[in-house]
Order: sequence, then C-alpha cells, then structure tokens
Amino acid sequence: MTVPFALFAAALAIAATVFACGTVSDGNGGDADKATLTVFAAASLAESLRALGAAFEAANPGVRVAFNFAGSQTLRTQLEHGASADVFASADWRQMVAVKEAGLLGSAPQCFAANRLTVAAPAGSDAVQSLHDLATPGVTIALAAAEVPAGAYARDTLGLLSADAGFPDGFADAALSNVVTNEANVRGVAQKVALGEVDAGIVYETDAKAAQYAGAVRVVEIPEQFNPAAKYPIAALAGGRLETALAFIGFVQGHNGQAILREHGFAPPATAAYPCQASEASGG
Amino acid sequence: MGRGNGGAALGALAPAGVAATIIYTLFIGLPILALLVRAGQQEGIVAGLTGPATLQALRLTAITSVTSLAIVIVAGTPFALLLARRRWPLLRVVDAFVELPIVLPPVVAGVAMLMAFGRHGLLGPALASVGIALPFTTGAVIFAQIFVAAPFYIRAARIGFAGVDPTYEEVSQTLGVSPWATFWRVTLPVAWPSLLTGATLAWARAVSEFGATIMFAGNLTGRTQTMPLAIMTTMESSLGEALALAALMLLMSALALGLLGFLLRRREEATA
Repeated sequence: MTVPFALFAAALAIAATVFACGTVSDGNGGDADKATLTVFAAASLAESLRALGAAFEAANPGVRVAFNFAGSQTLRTQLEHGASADVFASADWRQMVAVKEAGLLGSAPQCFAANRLTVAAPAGSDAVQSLHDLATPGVTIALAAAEVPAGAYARDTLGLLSADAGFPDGFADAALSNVVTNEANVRGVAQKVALGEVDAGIVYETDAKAAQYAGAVRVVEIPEQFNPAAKYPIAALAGGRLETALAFIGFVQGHNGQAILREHGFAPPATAAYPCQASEASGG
Repeated sequence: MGRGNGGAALGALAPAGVAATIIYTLFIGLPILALLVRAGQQEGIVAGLTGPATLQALRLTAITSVTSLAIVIVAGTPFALLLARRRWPLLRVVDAFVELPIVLPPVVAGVAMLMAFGRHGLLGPALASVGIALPFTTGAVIFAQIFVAAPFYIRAARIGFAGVDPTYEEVSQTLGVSPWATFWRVTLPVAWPSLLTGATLAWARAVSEFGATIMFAGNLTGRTQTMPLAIMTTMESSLGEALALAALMLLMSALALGLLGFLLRRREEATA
C-alpha cells in the first residue's frame, strides 16, 4: 500500500524539482558560479553576435552569454508572452517599439549596426540575372514574411522599384506573385536559396556573405536608392540583469564590438547614409 | 463510476490513481480551457474566424488532409493486409520500418523530403525533366502529410486485419465467394473499428502537420499555409486571429474524436 504511494510521491518530487530548476535556470545556467546573460537577437546577427559574445565572455570571466536567434517578430512575441531575457537586439524599429510599448524595456534603445538588402540567387542557376527578372513569370522567389523585418524591408524595396520609371507598372505585384514561401526569418530565405530550391530570395548583404553560404549563393545588387537601410536597435530588458546587460550593450557599441560587426559586413550605425531614428518607427 | 470492485491491483494504486487523474485532467484541461476563454474574450472573433486568411487556411487544410487520407487509405489498406497475412523475409524488414515516421521528428522528415524530391534532390532532376517541381506546392503539403500520417493508419489496419481469423476468409472462398467479395463482406466488417481508428488518427496527424510542411512546402497563404502554419504566422502579427484559428482547430479535433467514439459505440451496440 505504501510502495505505490511512495513512488507517486517520488514522481511528484521529481516533477517539482524539474519545475523549480526550470524557474531558477532562467537566470542561472549550466556553470554554477557564472552569471548567464540571455540575449534575444535577430537571426541575421547569428554569427556576428556569437563572435561578439565570445569576446565579451573573454573580457568578463564571470559571465556566460546565451543567445536566442530568431526573426525579430518571433522574439518580440516571445517577450510579450513572458520570455525572460536581458538584452533584445532587433533588426528593425517596429519590433523594438512594440517591446517598448509593452513596457518591457530597461534602457533606451540605441542603434548599433546597419545593413542593406541584396538579391541572393543560387550559384548554379541563371534564372535571375537582374532585378527585372524577379517579375518574370515562372521565377520562384523566397521572401521573409511581412512581419519579419527583412520581409518588410524587401517589400519596401519592391515598392520602390515598382515606382521607378526603369521598371514596368505592377512590377512589385508581379514579383510578389512569384513568391512561393514566406519564411519565419531571413535565414530561412538564405537557406532555401543556398539549397537551390528557389531562383532567388531577398536577404541582407551580411547573410549573402555569411561563410556557410559561400560558393552556394551569388548576389544581384540592389542600388542604394531602392535599398532602405536596415537599422539594428539594441536595448536592455526590464527585470533582467540590467548592469551586465548595459555592459554588453556598451561592448557591442565599443571599439571591439564594432570591429567584429564590420568583419561580418555590417555598416556602422547612424552615419549620414544610415540614419538611426526611433521616430521613424512610429508609423509602422 | 458506480463499480467499487475493480481489479485487485487497483486497491493499492487507487489513491495515487485518483491524485494522478486530477493532476492530469488539470494539466491537459487548463490550457485548453484557457485557450477557449481567451479566444471567446477576443473582440471580433467571428471576423477572425471568417476572415479571408482563416478561410484560405481552413480550405487548404481540408483539401490537403482529405486528399492525403484518401491516398493513405487506398494504398495503405492492401499494404496493411499484406503485412498482416504474409511473413516474407523482405516484408518483415519493411514491417520493422513502417512506423519510423511516427518516431521521426517531422522537421527531419521535411529535410529528408527536400533531399529526395527537392530541385537538387535525388529525384529532383528526374522530376524536373517531366515538368514537376514539387517543393513549395500544395502537392508538397500532401507529400509531407502522407509521410507523417500514413503509419498511423497502416499500423492500425494491420492490427485490425491480423485480428480477422483467416479461416473465415477460407470458408468464404470455399463457398465460391470471390476474394474481392470476401474482403468486402468478411475481412473489412471485422477489421472496421481498427481501420476507422487508424484513419481518424492519420487524418488528425495530417491536419496538425507542421515541421515537415514548413521545411518542404514553405509557408504561402492559400497554397501551402495550412492551419498550423497560419497559427504560427498570425501569432506574430495578431494574437486574436491566432487564438481564433487555434480554437477552431481544437474544436475540429474534438469533433473528430467525438465522431470516432460515436461510430465505434454504435457498431459495438449493433454487434452486441
């Protein structure tokens, strides 16, 4: 009679322990005496921020940096639904402003990098040679979904091209009708291009240059007047390790951090060519 | 309820059983209740349910899942019968792998299908030469659904057929009934509950398919965006719409389960 009850109690105890660990480990990961800084960052930042995180860890031996890379809108959704993190690095202002309006920020967002879009095509395919080819019937295109920063920028670019005298009327609609998949983040687009499963995709320049796609992807450049600069804001989150978060943000904006970002192809923030203003986001 | 004298083993386990039942019911019930309550509170839930995006996702899910199920049943039934009736060495090897997709993570199935049927997959060039490009089409959605759902039907059907005493079939045949008619009048009616259960599970699995679909078929409204993909996408733009879609899927699943129970009970009563 008592044996099954003891077993049941043991099972409950295990469940409770797992539950408790789950709660505790939010702020205290694998290494027992190291503080873990949790960074939610846009998918396009994966390689650069990992390198940056390693450099930050080397400079701060007591800190471990854990990343969650996804589409900025996915991260924003997770934060709104109670995900706990210390730093949020978004690929656009729209998602950062949404997090701010939800009252989740612990510091004012600041731009730390900028990026441009490019058309990526499989190295072995010649279906898309110029921007005009995006609207050719039968061409298959992968875009990030409209909620994803890269997807929103890409649609802006198609709109700008459509309005230009050098492109036919309805260019954007024709190109959008060639879209066969709306990916949840920009790396989904890059991956489908690299696999050769689509004729083209619109990604960031840094994605097209990322080491894992070398040789698999070629680029069709988008001239600057059609190419809205993507700006990356970063901020500490409320309720997190504010001090460490601010140190990390300072590191990202500092000399070493910026050098790593340049290495990965990101442009410096807030130059004349890449203005960085939060107010731009209020509309979107 | 009402029967106090169950098996002897229950006596010792009863307190734990009652406690576990309560915890389990709350564990499963609370999230479902929360979903329905939140969906019900949402303003414009009706508009969300009848919006074009929802209707397109619903329509696509219905078409693809029913097509997948039809293919699974038509091909899976003779296959399951063969598995139940013959012990050929090669067949036993096949038998051992039939259920692999059940334990395989769906996203792995999606990657595997890209490697096989993708443009640069194993069969991609051959398919392209006859003008077929499968990835990112509604056909790819159906492929993904069949891949993950078929084992549920085949497994249940094989168990059902194995439960049909072959001597009935032999008697039927010695009475001059054709094999085809024997299958319809002897084998099928006996195996029916298993087939029905298997078909329901396979359909439910096809409807809920996500990982293989997003990998192999992509995410495009009206063409490859089934209900689960639409829920994921709208979750990031409009929680209300996502809740409406999720509640709708929940009701569909409950309805399927209820219908299955009703049909099985009706048959039990008819044969009792």
